[in-house]
Amino acid sequence: MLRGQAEDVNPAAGRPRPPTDADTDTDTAVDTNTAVDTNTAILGRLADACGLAGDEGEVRTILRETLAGLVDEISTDTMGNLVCRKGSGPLRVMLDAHMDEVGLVVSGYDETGLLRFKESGGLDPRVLPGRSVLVGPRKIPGVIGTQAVHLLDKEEKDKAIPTKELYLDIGARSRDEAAAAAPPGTPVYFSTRFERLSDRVVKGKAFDDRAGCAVLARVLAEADYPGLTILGVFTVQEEVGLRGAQTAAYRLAPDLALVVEATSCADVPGTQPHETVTRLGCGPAITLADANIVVPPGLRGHLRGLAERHGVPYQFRRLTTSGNDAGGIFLQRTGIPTCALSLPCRYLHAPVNLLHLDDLAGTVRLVHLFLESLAKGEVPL
Amino acid sequence: MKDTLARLAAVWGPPGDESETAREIRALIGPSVDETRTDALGNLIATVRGGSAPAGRVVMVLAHMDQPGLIITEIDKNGLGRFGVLGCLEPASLPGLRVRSRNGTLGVVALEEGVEPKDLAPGKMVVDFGSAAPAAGDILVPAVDFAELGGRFSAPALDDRTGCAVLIEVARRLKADGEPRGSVHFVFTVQGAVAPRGARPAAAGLEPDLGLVVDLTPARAAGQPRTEVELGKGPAVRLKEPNYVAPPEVTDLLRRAARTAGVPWQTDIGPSVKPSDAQAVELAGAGVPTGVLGLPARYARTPSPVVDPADLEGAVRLLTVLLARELD
Repeated sequence: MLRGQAEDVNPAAGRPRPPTDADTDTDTAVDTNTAVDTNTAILGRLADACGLAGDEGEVRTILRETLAGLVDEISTDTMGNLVCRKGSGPLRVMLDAHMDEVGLVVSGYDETGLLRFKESGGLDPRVLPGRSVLVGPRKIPGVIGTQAVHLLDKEEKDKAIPTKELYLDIGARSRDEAAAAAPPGTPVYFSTRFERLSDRVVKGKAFDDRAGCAVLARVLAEADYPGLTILGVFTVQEEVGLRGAQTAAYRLAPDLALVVEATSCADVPGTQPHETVTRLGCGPAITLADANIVVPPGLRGHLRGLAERHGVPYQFRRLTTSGNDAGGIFLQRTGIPTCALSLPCRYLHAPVNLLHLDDLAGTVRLVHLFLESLAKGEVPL
Repeated sequence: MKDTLARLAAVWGPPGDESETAREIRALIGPSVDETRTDALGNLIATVRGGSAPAGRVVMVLAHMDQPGLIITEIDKNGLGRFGVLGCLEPASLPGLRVRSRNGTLGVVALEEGVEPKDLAPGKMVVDFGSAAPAAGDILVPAVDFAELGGRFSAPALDDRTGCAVLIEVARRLKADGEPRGSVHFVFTVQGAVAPRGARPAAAGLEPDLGLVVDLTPARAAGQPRTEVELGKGPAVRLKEPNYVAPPEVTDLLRRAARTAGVPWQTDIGPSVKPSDAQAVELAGAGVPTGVLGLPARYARTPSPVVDPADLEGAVRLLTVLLARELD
């Protein structure tokens, strides 16, 4: 350690420590992050749960059980969106987080019992070979295989293997055995388990958007804003086209909406600062514009102003492409003013994601501040 | 109409931040219509209620009121702004462009050193604000004034303030020449410079019987001709776009109105253009037969589109006749 640095470093701060049960339920830190650590339990449960687009039942069950008794009304709509109402004030506010995660779907077999698959949602083919997966509702373990490395020529070694050349191995010895264990259409999930990497950084799968679900669950449990009808919507099929959010917004016809999403960081070596979408640990990212929506300056400026006035770290999402449920919501009916916050997430749309707990805490806080301001009549419309 | 266009070209209104433009248009069109209102997303709707016409049809005439711009996503450690593009501005038209923010801060777009022409992309560019201090989230538009080139007009915001000026003039003439058959909603939409957006909820609310979109269409310029549409030869009846095909009864109606009005017209069959609001209107609610009247423009995807007043006058006369006489 360099001289002079020691006094700037809180010895308890950056030191990794093993997770314990106590960590998930209580925390000895005395800052505003204390509260959210009780939330890592629900985050872990949600991240370890499995649900591709159209297959959100397990996640929905956890959320329904968690929120039963904490909100005024829970229902599941025709598409499978879980709608939780809290309060019955005149201003109707929709909060959105999607339940589905990216993964694979079994699409075929070969004679030796290996399975072919397709992607559900966008995945980076570079990260697939060699991964452990769970297949189907019974969570049969499997691995993603590919041609033996010693058989590859130099050119093949240097490039990503297309998904259609990969296969899934569940130990089956014949086509029939494989098909019986995993019929066509069986969902395949990454097997990553939720755990802490350090005191503030957690590892898991599907933080996109179970982190948003955890934020919403917490906000809904705590919310008490006379004047508002809060419509917490856990949506289906975001990863394949912002689908559940569209019908939910149509059905509920809210006065305005806030989407809580997870977005990529790309704050890693080899990336120019302006190419990073967000930075881990630097607070929720406010959407300026994405592929589907330009958030009006008044609305996003309101979020920014709240963050600045209350000392909540925030950043802007530095990518103006790609998108989330906001684009599916704001054009419903005669138009629904919509804004979005994203939790920075490293290695998004990959088998292992990283999330910073300060970002989780900051997002919860900013959503509360937003609701509080709406309840006070500070509607930024 | 030149004065209206010059006034509209100068007003602030990039995608998502159209309220000043809406205010300006409301001031211009207000005296000619029965009612104006702004909807939840900021679309401006100016309505002329048809009087005595039996079983009056409801017509929606649209132009998007936003203009292409840049949005600052980050200020780097040297004070240079990184940006994304909102709407259609060809990357090749950006380096060297002077831009301004809402509060008048000026900047210039610069290319990173050593970028090959084929690699031109917004990600390789910065905005240099000199010693001024802009912020992430600031939106910028080209700081280029309205100009008259011979008798033709050029300004960055002509996409689609030209359409807005046409709609305002149509409303004036309808007012002067007697009421339209049926009700007419002149709708000035938000975010249309980026994609068909504001038009869909506007159409869903109005449930019109007919939609008519007025937007720029690329006209033949220097080099290999990619379109048959020419500047100064009249408004262009568009036949198709990505995700949209014009219904024949609507293109027939537009051509018939052109003949009645004695206005020369052209046919616009592509190549593929930036989609207008047409597809959003067509698929709104239970569906709306929708046509597109193109206003020929050279360099439509740059900060300097050029339009010809003869085409604008033609469009005004065509639409006025259509709304006043041809809607049976």
